[in-house]
Amino acid sequence: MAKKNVTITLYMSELIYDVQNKTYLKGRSKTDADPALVAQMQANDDDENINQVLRSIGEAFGTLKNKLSEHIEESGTTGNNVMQANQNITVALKMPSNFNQAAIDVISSGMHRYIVNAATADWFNLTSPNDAKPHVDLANASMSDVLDGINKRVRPTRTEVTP
Amino acid sequence: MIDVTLTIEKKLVYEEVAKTTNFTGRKEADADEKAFDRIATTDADMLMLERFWNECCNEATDRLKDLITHVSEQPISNGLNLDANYEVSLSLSGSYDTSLNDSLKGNLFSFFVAGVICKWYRFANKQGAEDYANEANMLMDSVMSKVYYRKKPKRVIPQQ
Repeated sequence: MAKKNVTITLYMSELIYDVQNKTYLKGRSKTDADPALVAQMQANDDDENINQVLRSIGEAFGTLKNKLSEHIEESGTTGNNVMQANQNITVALKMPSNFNQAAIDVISSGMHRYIVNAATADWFNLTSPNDAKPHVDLANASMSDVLDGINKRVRPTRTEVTP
Repeated sequence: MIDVTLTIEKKLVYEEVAKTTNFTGRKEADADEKAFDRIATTDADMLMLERFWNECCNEATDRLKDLITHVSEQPISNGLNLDANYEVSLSLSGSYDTSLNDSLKGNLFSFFVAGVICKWYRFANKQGAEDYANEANMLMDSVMSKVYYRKKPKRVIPQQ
C-alpha cells in the first residue's frame, strides 16, 4: 500500500502573534509590577525582541522535526540557522497507509502549540524566569498530543472474498 | 523604535509654582498672618528655585536614563536662566502608543511643579512638603508607566 503524504503548514505570522499575545497578556496581568519589568516581558516587533522570538521558534521547530524524523522525508543535505519572519514552516510527513487522517488537525494544532509554548518559555527564561515553567509543561503536553496524533491508525477493513 | 522629545519650560513651571504657593499662602494666612510672606514664592526666591529645578531635572533624568538618547544640559550656576528648559529625547519601543504623548508631557510637567514645590515647602511650609513629595513620586510613576506602555500586538491573518 502506498504511503500517505501529509503536508502541514504553520504560518510564521500566526506563531509570532501567538507568542507576542501570550507574553502581552501575561505582562498585562501583572498589575502591581514595575512597568519596566512588565514591558520587558512583552515581546514585540522591536529588533532585539523579534530576533530572539524567531531564534526560539527555529529551535522549537528543530526539536519537533527531530521527534518526527521517522515520518519526515527530506532530500536536502544542507541546513542553515536562518529563520525569517516571512518564512512559513512546512512539514511534509510520509505516513503509513493506515494512518488516520482525522488526526491531522490534532497534529497541526499540537505543532503550533508546541512551537509557541517552547518559544514563550524561552522568552520568559530571559525576561521573567518565574513564568517560564508553565510554558515548558505546556510545550511537553503539546508534543505528546502531536505524537499521539501521529500514531493514530484506522482499523483494517475486511474485504470479503467470494470463492 | 519611536523617538519622543519632551520639553518642559522652566518659566511655565515657575509660574505654576508661584500660583500654587500664593494660593496656599493666602489660605494659610487665616491661621498664621506671616504664612503668605513665608510660603508664596516671589522673584527674589527664583535663585533658590533654580537649585530645586536642577534637582528635579536630575531626578527625571535618573528615572528615564534607560531610554534617553539626549538630554539638555542643566549647568549649575549662581545666576537665573529662565530659558534653560529641560529637554529630553527618548527612544521608546515600537509598541509605544504615541497618543500618550500629551499626557506624558503633562505628567512630566506636573512632576517638575510638584517637585519644586515639595523642595520649597521643606523650608517654607513643612507640613505640606510630604504631600507634594508623594505627588511628585506618583507623577513620575505615571510617566514611567506611560513610557513603558506597550500596545497590544496586532494579528495579521495570513493569506492561504
